[in-house]
Amino acid sequence: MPTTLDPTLLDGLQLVAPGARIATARSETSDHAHDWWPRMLLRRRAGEELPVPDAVVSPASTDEVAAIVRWAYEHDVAIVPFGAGTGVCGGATPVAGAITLDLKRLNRILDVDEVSGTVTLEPGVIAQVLEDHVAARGWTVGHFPSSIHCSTVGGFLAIRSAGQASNVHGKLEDRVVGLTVVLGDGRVFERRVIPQSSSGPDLTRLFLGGEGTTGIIVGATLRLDPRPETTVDNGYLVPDLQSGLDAVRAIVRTGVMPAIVRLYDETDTALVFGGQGMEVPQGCLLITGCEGREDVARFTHDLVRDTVTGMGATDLGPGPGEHWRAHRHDVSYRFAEYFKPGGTFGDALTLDTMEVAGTWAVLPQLYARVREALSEHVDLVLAHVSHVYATGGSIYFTLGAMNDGDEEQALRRYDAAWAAGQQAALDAGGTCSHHHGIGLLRAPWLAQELGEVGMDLLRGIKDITDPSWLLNPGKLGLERDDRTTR
Amino acid sequence: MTDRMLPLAQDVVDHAVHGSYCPKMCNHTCPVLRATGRSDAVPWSFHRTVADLADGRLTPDEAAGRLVACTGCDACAGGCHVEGQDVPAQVRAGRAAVHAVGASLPAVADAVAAVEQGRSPYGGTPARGLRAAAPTITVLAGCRDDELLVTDAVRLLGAAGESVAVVVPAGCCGGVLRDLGAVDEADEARASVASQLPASGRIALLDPHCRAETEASAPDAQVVDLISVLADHVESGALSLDGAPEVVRWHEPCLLVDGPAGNRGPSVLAGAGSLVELPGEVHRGCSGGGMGMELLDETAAEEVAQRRRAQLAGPGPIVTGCAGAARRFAASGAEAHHLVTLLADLLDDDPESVA
Repeated sequence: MPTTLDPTLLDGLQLVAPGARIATARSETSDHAHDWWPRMLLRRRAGEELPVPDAVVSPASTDEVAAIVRWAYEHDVAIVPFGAGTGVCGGATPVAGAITLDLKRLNRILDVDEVSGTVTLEPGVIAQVLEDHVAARGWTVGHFPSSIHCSTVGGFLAIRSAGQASNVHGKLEDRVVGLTVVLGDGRVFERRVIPQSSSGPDLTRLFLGGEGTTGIIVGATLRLDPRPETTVDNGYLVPDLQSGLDAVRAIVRTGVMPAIVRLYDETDTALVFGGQGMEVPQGCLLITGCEGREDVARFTHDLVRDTVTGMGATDLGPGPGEHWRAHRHDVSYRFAEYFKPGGTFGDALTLDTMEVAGTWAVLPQLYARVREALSEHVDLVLAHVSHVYATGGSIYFTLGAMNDGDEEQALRRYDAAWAAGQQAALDAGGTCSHHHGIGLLRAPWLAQELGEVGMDLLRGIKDITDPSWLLNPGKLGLERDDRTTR
Repeated sequence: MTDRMLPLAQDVVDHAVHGSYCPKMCNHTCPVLRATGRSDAVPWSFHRTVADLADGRLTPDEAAGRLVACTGCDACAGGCHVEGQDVPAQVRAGRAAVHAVGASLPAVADAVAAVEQGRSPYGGTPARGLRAAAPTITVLAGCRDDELLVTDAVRLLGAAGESVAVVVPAGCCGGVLRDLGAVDEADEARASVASQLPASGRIALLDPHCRAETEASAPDAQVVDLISVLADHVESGALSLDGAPEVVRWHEPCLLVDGPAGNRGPSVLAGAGSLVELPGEVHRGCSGGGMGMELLDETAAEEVAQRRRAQLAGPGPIVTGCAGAARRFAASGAEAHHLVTLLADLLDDDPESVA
């Protein structure tokens, strides 16, 4: 694969995809120099001129995507898919010699099937736009990540995203009932819309989480839920994280499930209360949000309350839960205030989040070991448990370090914290990523997590779905040089 | 790098730098991004362009082409939690900076030249003004309000018992020129309009896009949109319309035009029993027909109009209180009317009676 793109090839590309916009000027392609991987933002903030794509191609239809991929296959040109550019692991980082394929123009909501309870859409739809669209018709997608305002549904599918109400609505991947994907040779795989099936393996799973390395998602049909009549939010104080985990596990085993379960560690709890100018209590904050029909939400809430207070939790009333709901996007809006040059905590702040997951048996160790590992490299580590399952849950760490204007130190601490935290997660028996994906950032730890056989499988899948290994090189650790020969 | 001094205020640059580190949180609000899917319509891209223009990473020539796909509708402001953050204001400041160093797109010079020749920035001929001995209300016509629309407005207000004067800017009230970045020319236009407007009393805007300039031109006057004036008259019984208009879909213009409170047009239509209510998510929107975007980027304007038309699809024509929107929709193939025209058709007076 050439490391520079022959610009004369682009004339041919325009012929096969006449409706596509093709940009090559740096002033136009620099929007695609990075996604929202904080490491790239750190480099940009330090004044580094980040590499830009050789060309950014923006098709307007699935047919054009397929034509572009066929063209790339014929001319051995790599493709980096790009949605809103808000992924946080570098999954849309440009590659020398490749085109970046911007999918934002594929942004139509094609159909809401109110009989089946599904919505069919193109990948470039912003998730909040989708939610507004179905909400106006009495439905919800049930996918409420903190990035819902900015990110595309295609991007969320590509990384197996989870929203804040995932306990009831599942991860977004769980809502996929139909999928259309352009493969690496330009063929189009369309999995028909079905509620469930036993027609062989579920092939959609080859692409959900593939981050564009196994195919380019160009359409999806998602399951909808009726929009909940009401939500009942509440807060509790538990003595410590372990008792909180025990309480959450007990909730899960009641057989009913709040849509929202958030258990904050002591540091995060202090930040939540202190940030509102309130007295910081001893212990950990637990927030639950029960939703559905009025009687169902109320029943769920009552059962949750009785369960956790029966285990020693203090009922704080609806205030903490309602405050969380009203301010749940605030941190995202504050990111720039913290991160920009001369931000709230001075120049050269190191800042990121790391979500990992493990079984109930693993979670206490997972928390302790990752926290300890991160704390060796950064000034502040806080965490909350925010997605729970029958068998375990996810822990979402926030890491921060002040560097007094030393951007090199900021980057060094960033890399060291990530290396230590990811290794600790794997050593504790967890997964290195719960819902932010792999990208470039986590590729070394994905290889560890999957093991040699797992990576061989992944490479084998790529051989079939992307025969020339042209799709999103390097992401998930799938370097073209490593392709297997069959 | 550029050696030309760029007139960008520090607070604009500071906000642009801030925004360039924001994870694109207002993506869901932008009608141009939603319609076009273009990267240069992502509000974050405007932040970055202005920040890069300020520090020389982009030349003014490069930046000029990156500051086109914004209608200035302020939808992003409604979604932003950051105090003082204003994407359209940064776009206008960026356009002004590139215009000041002679790097603006040819469309800007064309608009300036048109206004200098007494035509609208869009090239049309302004309507005629109307004097009144002791007006109870002054109508300010916009650069896209044609003679017929002005006549209909006067008829409706007259039927409600108002004595009406009409002021027509000599090409532009300043709003479109300012949006394009032609600040000095906009100031001149504003001063010219200010000299014609009453210092106090009610000024009714036929084109609500003129609001900001008019409020600056006549700070002691009560600046209101004409549709709301008509709504008041309908509700008080001063304006009696014979019959109800046909079933219509209402296009509520953007925040820029009407502010958060919105327009009173729907209440007039709902009172007449002819309004198809639209869900909240699409009640308000941008037609693509506001301010300078359609001069800078006709393609983006048309895509926004098409998207808005799709949102408004249903029985009956589109009706709006914005002449720019009505014109834009009509140009894109939709049946669209200004509410004033629709209501004036219900009057039983003689249109020729308006001098």
